[in-house]
Amino acid sequence: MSSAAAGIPALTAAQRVAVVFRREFRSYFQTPLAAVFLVIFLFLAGLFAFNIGGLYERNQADLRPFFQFHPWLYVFLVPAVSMRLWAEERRTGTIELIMTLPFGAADLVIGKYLAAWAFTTVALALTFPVWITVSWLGNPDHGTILVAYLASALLAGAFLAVGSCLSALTKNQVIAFVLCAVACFVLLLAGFPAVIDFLRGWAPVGVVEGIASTSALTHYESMMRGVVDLRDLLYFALVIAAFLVINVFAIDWKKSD
Amino acid sequence: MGAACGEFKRAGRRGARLFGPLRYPPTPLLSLRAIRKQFGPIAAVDGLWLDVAAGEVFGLLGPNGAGKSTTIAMATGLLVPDSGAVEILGLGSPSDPKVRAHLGLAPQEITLYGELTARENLVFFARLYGVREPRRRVDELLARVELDGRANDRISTFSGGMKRRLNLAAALVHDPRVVLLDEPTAGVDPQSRARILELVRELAREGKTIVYTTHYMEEAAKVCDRVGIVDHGKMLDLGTVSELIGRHGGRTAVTVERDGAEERVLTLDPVGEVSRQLATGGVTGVRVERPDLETVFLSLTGRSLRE
Repeated sequence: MSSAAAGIPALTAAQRVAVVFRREFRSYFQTPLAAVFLVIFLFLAGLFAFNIGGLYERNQADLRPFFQFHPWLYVFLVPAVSMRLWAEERRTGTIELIMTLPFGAADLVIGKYLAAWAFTTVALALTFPVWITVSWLGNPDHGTILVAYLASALLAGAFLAVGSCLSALTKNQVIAFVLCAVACFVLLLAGFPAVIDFLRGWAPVGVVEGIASTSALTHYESMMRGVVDLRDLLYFALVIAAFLVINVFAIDWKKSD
Repeated sequence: MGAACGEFKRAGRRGARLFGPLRYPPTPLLSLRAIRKQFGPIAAVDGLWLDVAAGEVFGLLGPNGAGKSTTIAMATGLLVPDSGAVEILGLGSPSDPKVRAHLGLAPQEITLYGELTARENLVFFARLYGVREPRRRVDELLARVELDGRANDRISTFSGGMKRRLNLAAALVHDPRVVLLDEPTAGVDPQSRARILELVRELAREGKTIVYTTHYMEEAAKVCDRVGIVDHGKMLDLGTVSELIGRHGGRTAVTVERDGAEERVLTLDPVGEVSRQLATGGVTGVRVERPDLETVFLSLTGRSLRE
């Protein structure tokens, strides 16, 4: 027995994910959210890179000052995207209808997550003039810049997975935002030099390294140097997968709330 | 399950073809068997049994908080009963996604995307259900709920009644066999209410099984083949409206006006009573008040439905 028995051919999981992705991705551009997010992201990314990071003053043809602030930007901007993913469905009650669809929550979770990730990747891609500027002024290592872009996209993806999962727990978008911002901050904190130095004072090296390896910042900075290490890719893949799996359980658990 | 499925095929499909739409074929398309759901110390649904047949409109009538929406949530798989079982078309529980393909739900709240147009909302759900030619199906449904003229408008601009009609269309987009309507006329204008009730009757004529929750007695009496009176999570009684009135409605009140004074008589034989009163002469007016579902509810629960 399948949904085909109802006179309807069953869709594959990929087709369902694609339907959810299209609707979700379009929805960003049907509200002012997309414009506001893009303007703020581009403005702050530029401000941090040129004013605080001193991109010109360093006299080096690289984008390190540009990328080094992305984690801190994402701590506040990614929750703004992820907060609505499920909290909005819960607030409007649409979750009730989508949870009676003839397939599990996984397709919905993946479709919505990929749309959010695609949206933040569009925002990131719109920073390409910075790359062009540096290329025009000097002779940067384009491979390093490309890997740094990949690292930035993966970091945003990891934060979005955390945010999507936390958004499933509440119908209040503000709560979803705060929870996600705090969780992302904690995910960065373990790799922050000040925290590592503090730990080194009393904890064994193995423990310090263990804690640092759980930090998104450690893996992000490793990739930002232009090195594609399998461990870094695995880290981001695991964080994304783990939070999306928890997201599916959370949706199923709280579907009738 | 196998036997039940076989019975369904014989009774539902072949039966409907040979004898026209069946009002009460033997095998239910929706079965609730002693379902129970507890929220903390409160039993929202307490051992509720129900069988609804193909082509039947079954009304769950009860006040707010009676357990109607919790029952619907369990029937659609949104909630898992603490005990008891739900079976759809003899195929199994709605927690199985394949079984859910046969269910259509119009929840009590408007569950559509405000930033999308009416057509975009329905096309989205049609695509998720894998409906062939989703645009054609959506246009057909929009015409059916009389929203074809507003198909390309964002639903955030719609009135409550229009949103309700669209909510109903969303429940029908995949042509389900069992349709669950949770208070589909709550807070709507008379025009939308009339269209929704008419549509429910049309769907029943097409052989769909409909469960309709409401706390409006006149609606239940108008559209439902059978009605179940629910209160405190229990099914107090069920049957056709006339059966329920016959069992619990009590006597008919006959008020006779004579010489400017009114006399009220309670009787089981209103026609005989009116004849008797007329025969005595001097009668200037007669008013007969038959018991209705409100009387039934009062008799079963000891309180008014609107309390």
